[in-house]
Amino acid sequence: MNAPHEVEILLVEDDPNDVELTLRALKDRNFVNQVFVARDGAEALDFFFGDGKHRWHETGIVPRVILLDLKLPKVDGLEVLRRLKGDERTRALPVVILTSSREEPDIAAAYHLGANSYIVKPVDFEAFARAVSDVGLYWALLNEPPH
Amino acid sequence: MNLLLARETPAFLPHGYCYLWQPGVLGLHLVSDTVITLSYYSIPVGLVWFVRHRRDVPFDWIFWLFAIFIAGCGTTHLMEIWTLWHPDYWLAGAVKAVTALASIGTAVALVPLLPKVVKLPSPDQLAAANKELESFSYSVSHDLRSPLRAIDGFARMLAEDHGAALAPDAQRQLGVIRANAARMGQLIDDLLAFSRLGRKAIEAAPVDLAELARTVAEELRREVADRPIEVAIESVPPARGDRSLLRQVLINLLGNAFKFTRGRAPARITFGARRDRGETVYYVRDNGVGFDMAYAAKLFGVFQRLHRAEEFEGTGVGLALVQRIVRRHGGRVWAEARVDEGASFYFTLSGRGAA
Repeated sequence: MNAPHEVEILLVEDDPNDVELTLRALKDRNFVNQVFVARDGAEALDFFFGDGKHRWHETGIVPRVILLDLKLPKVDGLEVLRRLKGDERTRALPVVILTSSREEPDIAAAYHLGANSYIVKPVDFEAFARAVSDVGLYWALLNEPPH
Repeated sequence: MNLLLARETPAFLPHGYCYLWQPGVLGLHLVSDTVITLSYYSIPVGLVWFVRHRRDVPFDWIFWLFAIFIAGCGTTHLMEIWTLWHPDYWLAGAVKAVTALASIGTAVALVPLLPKVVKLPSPDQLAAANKELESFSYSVSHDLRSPLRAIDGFARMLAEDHGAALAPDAQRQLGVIRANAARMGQLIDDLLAFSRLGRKAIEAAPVDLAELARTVAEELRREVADRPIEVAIESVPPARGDRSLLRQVLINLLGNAFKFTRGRAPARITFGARRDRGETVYYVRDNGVGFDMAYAAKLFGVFQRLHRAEEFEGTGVGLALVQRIVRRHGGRVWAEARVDEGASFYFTLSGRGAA
């Protein structure tokens, strides 16, 4: 796990392969030490609202962007999104949905709940790597956060 | 003699005894029999129209039987009117006898039919089953993508990180893994497109198919700029349908024509239309490798291929997609070909843009 002060991107993803591929894609653009991974929705919520060691408001860790999968064990991605966008403290954090689902209802629900972007993971690794690194580059480096 | 005359001379009221010597009773029977006759004659017309327009309706013979039986009933009421003034009771009896036969035939035929009919799925059940199938194939397609991404991604990482350490044969094998992952990805994407089609609503509008064919052919030609290809786009009657879906039809049919004329110099591809028994038949014709008509029935099935992957690439979804789009437009698609002498694909559109 990465050191707290280095956290720039929060990746919420349960598939270990996708985690590794995402980290690899980010590493190719030198994001390697700035990614925190939550393996399910509960862990993601714990990061923001829990009593664990990752309580973001105590440690001052503010991810520049949250990459959120939709199909997650325990608490699903849409619920995580609803909680994040429903809380005054986390509402301003950019959330990018990164998922396999191209289902129209999923896309509509995500935007309705306040998702900042919605990306369908490509099968092809090169396309996937490009998508992930573009997202990282844009939200973690180019985009000016609200604080 | 007519009713008016009868009113004037009540003594000559036809069937005066039966109708209590009251013109009102006679009039009531006359009007009612007339209305019954007319409606009994109109119902068979509706039934026959229905079975002729819905050729796929199951047990269509029972509708014919109903039509004959109801027409017979109408005729018996017509005879009721006729015999008011003409004592053709033998004829009236004969008409009744024929109607009796038709009615008992219908009644008997219904007995074994009812248990079968009651088992027919309702439109709601079919729609629900279809929806279930759609969402099933859709989620399967999505869940298939994740492992595929891992296969492709890790093979790629292996090639990048350890490619130098691998023997040439190992590198080739890695390439085979990646090529097959890409192929599987293509299959899934095609399947997804096919599945999505069932759910997309058709937006019907006038479409210039010749212009559409011209743009599609130009795009396809750019991909094979080095090949000698003569494309002829003839002017065709205006069509009505969903532009983006009809574009898919042309991409697949013209794409196939481009693909299966590989090696022909020059390749000749024609898009055109002809009138056939009152409907417009559009066609795409090529002078490519063609196929054996013995396998024509397989042509439009999903994942059905008539050529080996080494000869001609493809997933076998294209023509299934074409058929689905054409059918959703209320049309038909078929093909004619001979081995090594080219193929022609024909399709019609109802113009209604039916769902």
